[in-house]
Amino acid sequence: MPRKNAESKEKPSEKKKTKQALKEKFAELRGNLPEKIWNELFEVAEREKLSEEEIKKLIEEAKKEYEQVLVEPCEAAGIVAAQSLGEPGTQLTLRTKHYAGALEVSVGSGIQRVEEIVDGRSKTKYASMTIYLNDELKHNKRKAEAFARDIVDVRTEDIARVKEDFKKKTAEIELIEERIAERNLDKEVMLSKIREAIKKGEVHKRRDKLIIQFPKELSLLKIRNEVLKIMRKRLQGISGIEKTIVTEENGEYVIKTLGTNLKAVLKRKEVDPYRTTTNDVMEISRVLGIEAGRRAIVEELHKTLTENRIKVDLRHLLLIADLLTFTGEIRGTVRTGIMRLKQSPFARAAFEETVKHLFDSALHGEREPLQGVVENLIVGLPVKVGTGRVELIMKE
Amino acid sequence: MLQKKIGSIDFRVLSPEIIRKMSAIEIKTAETYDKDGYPMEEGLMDPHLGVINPGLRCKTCGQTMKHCPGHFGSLELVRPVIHAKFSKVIEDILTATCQKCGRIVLPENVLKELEKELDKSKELVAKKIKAKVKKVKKCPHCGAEKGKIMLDKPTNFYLDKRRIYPTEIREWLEKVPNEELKFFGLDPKIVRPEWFVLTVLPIPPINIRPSITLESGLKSEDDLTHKLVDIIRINERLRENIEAGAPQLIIEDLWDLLQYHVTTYFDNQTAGVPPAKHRSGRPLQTLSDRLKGKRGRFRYNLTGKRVNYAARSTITPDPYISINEVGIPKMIADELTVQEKVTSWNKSRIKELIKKGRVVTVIRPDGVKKRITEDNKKDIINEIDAGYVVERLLQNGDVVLFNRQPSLHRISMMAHIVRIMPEKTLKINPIVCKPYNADFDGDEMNIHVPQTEEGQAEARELMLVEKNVISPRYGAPIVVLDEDGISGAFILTMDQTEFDKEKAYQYFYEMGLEEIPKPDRGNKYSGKLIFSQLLPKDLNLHYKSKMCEVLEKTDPNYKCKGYECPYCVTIENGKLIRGVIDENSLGEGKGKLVDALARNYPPEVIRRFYDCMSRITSDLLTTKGLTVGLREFEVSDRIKKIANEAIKEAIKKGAELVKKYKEKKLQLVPGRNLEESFEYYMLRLTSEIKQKVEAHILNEKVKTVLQENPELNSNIMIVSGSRGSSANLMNISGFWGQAAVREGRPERGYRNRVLSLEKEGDVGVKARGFITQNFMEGMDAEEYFFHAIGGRQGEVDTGVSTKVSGYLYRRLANALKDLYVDYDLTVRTSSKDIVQILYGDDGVFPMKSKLGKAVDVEELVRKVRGEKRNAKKKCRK
Repeated sequence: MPRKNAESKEKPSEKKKTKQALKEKFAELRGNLPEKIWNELFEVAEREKLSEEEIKKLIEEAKKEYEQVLVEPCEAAGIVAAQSLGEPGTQLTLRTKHYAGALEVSVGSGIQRVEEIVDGRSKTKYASMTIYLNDELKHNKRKAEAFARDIVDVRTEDIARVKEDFKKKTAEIELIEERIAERNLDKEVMLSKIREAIKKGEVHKRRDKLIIQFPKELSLLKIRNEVLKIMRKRLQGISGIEKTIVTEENGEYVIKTLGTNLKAVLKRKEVDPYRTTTNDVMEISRVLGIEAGRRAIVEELHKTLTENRIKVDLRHLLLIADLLTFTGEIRGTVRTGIMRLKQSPFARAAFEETVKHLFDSALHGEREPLQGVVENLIVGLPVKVGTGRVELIMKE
Repeated sequence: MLQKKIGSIDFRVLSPEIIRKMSAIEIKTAETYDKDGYPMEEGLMDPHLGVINPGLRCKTCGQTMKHCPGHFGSLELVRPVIHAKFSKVIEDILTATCQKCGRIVLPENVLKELEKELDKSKELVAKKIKAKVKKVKKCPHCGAEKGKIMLDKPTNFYLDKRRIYPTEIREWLEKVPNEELKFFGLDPKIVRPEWFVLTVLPIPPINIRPSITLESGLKSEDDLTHKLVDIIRINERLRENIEAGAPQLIIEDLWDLLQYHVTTYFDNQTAGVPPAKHRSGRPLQTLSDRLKGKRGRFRYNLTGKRVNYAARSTITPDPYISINEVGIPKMIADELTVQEKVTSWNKSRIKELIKKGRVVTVIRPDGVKKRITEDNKKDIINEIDAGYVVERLLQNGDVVLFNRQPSLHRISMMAHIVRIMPEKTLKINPIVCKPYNADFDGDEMNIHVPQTEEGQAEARELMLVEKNVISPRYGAPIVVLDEDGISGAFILTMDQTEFDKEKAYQYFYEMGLEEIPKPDRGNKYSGKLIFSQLLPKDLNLHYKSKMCEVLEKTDPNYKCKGYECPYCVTIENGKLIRGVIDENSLGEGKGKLVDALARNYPPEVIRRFYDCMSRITSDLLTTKGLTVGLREFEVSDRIKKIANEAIKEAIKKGAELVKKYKEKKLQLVPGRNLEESFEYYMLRLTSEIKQKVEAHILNEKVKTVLQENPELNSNIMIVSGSRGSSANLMNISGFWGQAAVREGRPERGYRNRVLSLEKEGDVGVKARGFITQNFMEGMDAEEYFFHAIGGRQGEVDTGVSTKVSGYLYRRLANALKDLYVDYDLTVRTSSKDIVQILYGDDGVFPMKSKLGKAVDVEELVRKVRGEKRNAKKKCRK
């Protein structure tokens, strides 16, 4: 989700000034027109070079039209949103991953992806980041690639194999040529980094090998633990970033990754922190806050749906995202998520774990307020959405 | 009339006192019926528990079967047993309290502090207490030793490895003071912990466990009765043994058995307890089984209601009825009734109906119902007056709700106007197939008749078909002409199409024209002129047609000429001047013309348009004909040559790639290894080649449509977008291309090869599912099997994906269904919490928006300037 770049830094051009002036001039006519329409009006007015008289008329017309398209109160907005996502669900593909473009990393897609987002799962199956670079790197392929290589999480076990000799209490760590070549790493640097990780025992270097002689008094278990610790040591990069690919996008170099670590990546000065993002919704909400998480849910859902050529109005997705996030943290549409927050014992019982919910309500002496849809359906009263919500009595 | 309405429902745990109080009779014997078949007194079928035989009166309340709700009985348990569902709570309380004084084993000051935190989170406090009492060895209040409690699920408790029995537990729980219950999340006004140990068991009324008399005269009891018999029997045995002074061991065994029966009586699927079985070996269905799951009381009976005033039948198409009508068989119309209030205005009409026998019952103002028979007909006609209500049979013009399952969105149920017709199927205009997702291969649909004026008014105002043409999902038409409808409109509006006077007059008659326009092509009428008669006179539109898009795609020399483009649609003052009507005018989600008609005009306009189009297109297609033949799938030699060369090229290039791959000289795709890169190159190779050939074939077929006298065949369908695509054409006339399994080439099968026909280790084009033949020519065995692999995957995927998406939908609906838009345009939950400050962040309802756009500014500018069309010379997509 690209956040808006700091546009305000640029000087407002002459054109913008006149538009701004016009906007201010007609500000009192605006009424309740939303920002987006308001801006569009003036953009078009400027392009079409409308006279002030015409602009006035245009605003009036827009206001009239806007009032026509407002939601009607009592509309069952929730169920319409659920239907809008549920009905085309069968048209979603079953594929679990796909390659977003030829030269990119695989990302989750299809119905499983929608499920993942809507459930509010804490881990995204095919997590991936899109890292935008700062002005220095974004047009310099060499530097971008160097940076991409630099952030890949490399552990000792990724590039070396180990041989332990418990009799002699030694361990031999040998670098694997191909793996190092694959990752474009420097052998000597890696060796010295591994060396830093070795805390106990003496180290001898023999070509590509490091031979460690552990102290004789160290127990075998401790040696094994020590070796494992060395093997798991991160030699370079950012934890969690498994793979990086540099691609070109709108005339600048962008890094796509497999694996995600938004917090650590944003700390690097090489990236453009305003636009760099990840497809892990939970992570965004953790690092950037719940509002960012909400936007991320909408964007991710929208992306998945458009990939499958399913048209769903953004407003439905917004409502779903708002429901998932309005408590301040992401809660999925599962029995441990927002369903548990429902006050009504009937609503919970009719969803899942019927018996458990009934006993729990009895134990705590809960009251069924009969405000929701299922609850009223169960006792045979009109449901309180749509026309069922209007309480008008005709005068006799 | 005063009606009682449920305001709210409280959930409680029954105390022994309440159980005894509400008990109509104490059950004492395990026998149900005596030798003569009469229910035993104080047995499980005691008549005090309610009546289930018609004619009898209840011994408790004196009501008949219809009015007696049934009454609970009670059973005094000789020894108390644990209620298994509460054993976790019991465990929590026992571990935290002292056996001697009953208080929580934490010092006074700690409790005080915890009390303050109670307001914030009850769960958190409970957790803290649990953690704190773990270390306590001595009660700080009375100094007694604190033992360790162990729960052997579901019901056995141990104190420092000594088994403690329910009697002891109950005594312990009784000691816990009221003031300290709140720490366990319990309210002493509502519940006492000792109630979790049962001393008396409520016996449910016989209404919920009726016995069935089989044809053989034998009585078969309900599972619940069986279970209760078990409980009573063991209870009796336990009593006898205790009274006889049997050894402790035997008593404890029986006690455990009683516990087992009570546990399984509540839940026969309790973990760690073998389910109680019927004599036949089938597990008994006890209380919790009745409630839970898809077929349980909650989901099956309480949220799934069955209704009267409904009918169901197979559907068949009838393009000559209106889109908002439904053809109802006479048989159904003679059965369904609607209530109608008699007023001074409709009195005579209703009397007429009674005379004709179209009224079934009459309800007098005092609520008494009377069935009309031949005998009392006359009296009733005389008696009837304003204030009476009649139930009359369905008649033309009534409104009914029409529905097809699965009801996935709200347009799966719309209102239609009744039109009684002969034959036995429900008839609908094929235009409404799309929203219902219906076809006529045996689909059945349901009708429901709204009974009250309120219901009928809502149906007419909100649910009528023509008022739901725009989808609330994306703000574009969903009720659309499809398949033959679009083909017909396309043929009608092609430049070549003209009609003589006779045919044209027939169409004008179908439209109900009052003024007949002058012929525009000498003596003849052009199809465009006829079509224009359906458009409102103030309609001005210009947009790109599908035809133009197809030409742009296939012919590199073609360029759209904007306003002058002969294929793009230009409508001026309700006249189709240029262009053909195709998918871009009428199609689902993109039909610009129907979108304009549905949005800017009253709903009757779009209905008239659809009704007339439906009639005209079906007549046009039956008279002119639209056929599919093998001939149109034959391609010219030029195309055949292109295809053959393309295939050769693919195989050649593929072989080169294989060579490079085997030699490991392949240039790697960034971020992929050798195999992945190779697969990527192979897939790209085949799909590129296929696309090239596909464009050639499509181009050739488009040209046939543009001929002076085009053949009306499947090419029309493809070009107009009504059915089929160039991909289908390619499969039939070109070659199939790569058979794909999960986005890749097939690779599983035998060792190192997919089919036994292949050489081991061959990863070339042909060996991994490249199909060079088409449906016209037929495939050879090898290709046929590859084709089947891809086909099966599709079949499996649809099956799995309906399951997955069904559950996803259920959860979404359950989470979202209570949300509504309040009068201040906030979105709220049923408990009035705000979810959204302004619906959709701009308050616009998608159904009223234009593909999500609230206000079309460009359109408004034109309106302000008084222009009919955009001054710029570009077709709007």
